[in-house]
Amino acid sequence: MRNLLPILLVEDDQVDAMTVERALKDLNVTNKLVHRPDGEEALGYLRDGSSKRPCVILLDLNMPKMNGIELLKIMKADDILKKIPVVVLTTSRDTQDKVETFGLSAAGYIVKPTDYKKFVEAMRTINLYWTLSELPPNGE
Amino acid sequence: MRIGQKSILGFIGIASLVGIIGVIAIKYNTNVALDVDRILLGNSNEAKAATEINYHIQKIQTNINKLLFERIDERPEQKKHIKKAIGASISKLQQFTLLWEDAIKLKIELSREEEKKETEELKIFKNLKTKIDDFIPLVNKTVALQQEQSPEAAGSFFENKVEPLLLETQKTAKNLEKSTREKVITETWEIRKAVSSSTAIIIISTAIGLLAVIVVCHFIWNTISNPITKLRDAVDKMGKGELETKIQINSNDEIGDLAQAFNDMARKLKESYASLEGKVQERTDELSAANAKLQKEISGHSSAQGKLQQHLKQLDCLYGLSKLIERPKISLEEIFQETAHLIHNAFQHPNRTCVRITFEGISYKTDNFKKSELSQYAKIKVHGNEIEAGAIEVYYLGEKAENGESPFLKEERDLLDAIAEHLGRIAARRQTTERLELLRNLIDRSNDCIFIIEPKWGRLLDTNDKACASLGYTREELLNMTFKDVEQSIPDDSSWQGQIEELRLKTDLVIQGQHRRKDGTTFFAETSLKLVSQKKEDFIIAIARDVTERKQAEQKQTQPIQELERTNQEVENIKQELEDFAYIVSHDLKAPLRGIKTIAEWMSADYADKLDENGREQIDLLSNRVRRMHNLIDGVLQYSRVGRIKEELVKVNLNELVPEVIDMLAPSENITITVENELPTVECEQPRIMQVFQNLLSNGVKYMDKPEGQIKVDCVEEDGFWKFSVADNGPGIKEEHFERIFKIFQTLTPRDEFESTGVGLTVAKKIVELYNGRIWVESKPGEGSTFFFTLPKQEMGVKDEKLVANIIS
Repeated sequence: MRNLLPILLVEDDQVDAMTVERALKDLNVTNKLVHRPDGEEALGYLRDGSSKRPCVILLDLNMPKMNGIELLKIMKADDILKKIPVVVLTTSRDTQDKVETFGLSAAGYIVKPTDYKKFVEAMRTINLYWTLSELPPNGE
Repeated sequence: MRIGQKSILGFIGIASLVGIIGVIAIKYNTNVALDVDRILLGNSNEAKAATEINYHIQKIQTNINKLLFERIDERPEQKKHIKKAIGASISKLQQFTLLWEDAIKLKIELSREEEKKETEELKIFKNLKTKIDDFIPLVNKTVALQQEQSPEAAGSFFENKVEPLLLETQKTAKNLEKSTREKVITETWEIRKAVSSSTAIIIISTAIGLLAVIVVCHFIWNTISNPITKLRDAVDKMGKGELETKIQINSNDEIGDLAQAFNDMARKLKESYASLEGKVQERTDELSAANAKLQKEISGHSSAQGKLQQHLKQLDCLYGLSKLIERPKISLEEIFQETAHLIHNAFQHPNRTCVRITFEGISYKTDNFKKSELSQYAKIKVHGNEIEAGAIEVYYLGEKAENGESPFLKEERDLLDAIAEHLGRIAARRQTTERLELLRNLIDRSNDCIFIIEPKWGRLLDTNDKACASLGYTREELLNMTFKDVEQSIPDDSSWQGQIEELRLKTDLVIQGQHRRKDGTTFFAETSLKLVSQKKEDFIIAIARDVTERKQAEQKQTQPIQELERTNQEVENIKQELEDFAYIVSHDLKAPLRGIKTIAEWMSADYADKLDENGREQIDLLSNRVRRMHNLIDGVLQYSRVGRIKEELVKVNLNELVPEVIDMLAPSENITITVENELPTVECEQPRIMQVFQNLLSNGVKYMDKPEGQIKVDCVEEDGFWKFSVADNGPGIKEEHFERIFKIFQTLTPRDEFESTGVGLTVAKKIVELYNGRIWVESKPGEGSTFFFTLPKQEMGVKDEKLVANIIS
């Protein structure tokens, strides 16, 4: 990313989270990875005044307590939070999920590759894209 | 004497007066003219004087000549005579000169205009007079000279002195005479003119006077006499009774007012007269109406007598007919026959009348029936029908009347019509009665229980025999009950109302319930209710059938059916559960697998240097097993998906689909896949048929053991099915495995040798059997295998008539 803002990863599976972390490390991405295991905690983080607003959110869909779609809905309803780009990162190939995701104006939908190498490639692409794409200045 | 006459006379008088005055004036005028003439004549005295003067001058001249130039001395007598003559002439000269002078002076006095002329004339005359005055003494001197001296001296004196003067005087006198005479003529003319013009004036004025008189006369006539005459005439007319008279006098004077007053009076008179007349007319009308009535009554009475009799006869006839109808058990035929007789007797001359009634092909005659020329005829129409069902004919058997009159009375005609209508009604009623009886019979003998129910409380209005029999009640008992007492499923009023409401909405209703008999037992009954709306009220017809047997049969039937349905339902549920299960499970099972795989990879990556060969091999195996697990799960998922998703049925052209599949497989160069024949177009779900070919072909490729691999795809038609074949020259399959290979997860080689999910054929089988086809294999080990599968040929009802040209997976 072009800035040093954190990346928020909302993911319940520990291994998947580790995978993301590892991949980013392999890519030498310097942004801090903030990991929250479910939607509620993620919201908590986002709404906390002291926390830095993430530059991008990687969101898993299948999560306990509050799944990705619900969190997405809440975020997009919030004037401030809706500006944070959300990339859905999920195992689900389900059309319905895709429809709902894009219906809620997510910035992307990426199916987690099973192969680690491919996973890294996907992360690289995300990193490249969000380095290229600009974000509104913080606080707006 | 009339005003008119008086006025006329008066005006005539005036006219006459005027006329007389005129005449007198004219006369006077004429006198004046005469006087004037005389005066003028006086003027001619002038002329006369002038003539005389001229004459006498001449005479003097002559005489002097005689005196002087003839030997007058020889005739003394003559000389004396001549002298005397000369003297006379001279005195005459003087006389006439004076006369003339007087005349002239008088003229001057009388006239005023001609002053100048006169003065001129006077001048000339004065000149003449002077000359004459000079002349006379000269003459005297001449004469004296002659006497005293010699004639020659006188003569020379005369010649020298007298003659010129004489000539001058003569000339002057002559001129004067001439002018005088001319003047006289002119003046005479003028005077005459004046006279005549004054005469004219007088005449004109007289005429005008007369005209004026006439005008005034006329005026008076119009203004007074004529209107008054008119008035008189009008009054006369009015007196004679002509009240319409109006006087046309429009003048604005007293007479006009009178005329107006007269008109008003006439109008008022007219009005009152008219109203009077009107009243009289009314009265007259009333009277005449009353009179007419009276007359009618009187005439009516007489004819009434006759008519009365006739009417009586007809009444008798009608009465007879009504009595006929009342007779119990009388048939329609008897009625017609009797009616024929009744009609016969009702006519004026029964012994000369005969009757025939025809109805529905049968005729009923009186005994004396015979057709004739004179007849009456009335149609019988069954009441409510327009078709002519019969007729009444009446024939007159007597002679034709001489005057061509009909032997039938108007009343008889009316009677016929009345009877015809009556008969029509009777016939209709009979028909209706018969029909009702028929209906009643049908209802009673029906095998179903029929109830007529009143809608509000469900009271039974009528029941048929079967109902009574089924329920064990008498009809009387039933008619005291309500439907609720019978039908168990309607226990109370509110449920009955509910049924009625439903019935009103639907008009027809079928109730499956139970009917209760008198003895308390019940039986299954199917009741159909129908709401019938009549003008005044509605009622319900209920037809109930004992369905006990049917119910039992149904029970037997429904049990297995029900069970079947239940089983079906269960099966469906299980299927659904299974599918959901498969989906979720595969999905959820995969997640930890991924984790395992990832960590194994990391471990392999991170700790490779810390592992020995065994360790590395183990981790490889770990990864491998994880992969296998993943594939198996995918296989299960695939298998479950086969039945789950319903795709569109489209016409798929396999000639295009199969090559695509082959392309996607991308077999290695040593393997050739060919399509032997033209493949048909089938109606199926495109992804599925694709899956089948894919699985079969990929198997053929995967298991190919020969260096030159050949796979052939073919299709034939057989028994209404398409039989497809995929034949390879691969390793072949042992017969004992022919069934097994289609089972799920079954592989012929251990997985460690050959990675395979063992799901491909299972999926293909499932798909083919979904279409009611079959799949099997024929093979010889070492020679290759041929997989067959069939698909039915018939149309399965494609949703859209699309031909799938491009196959996109």
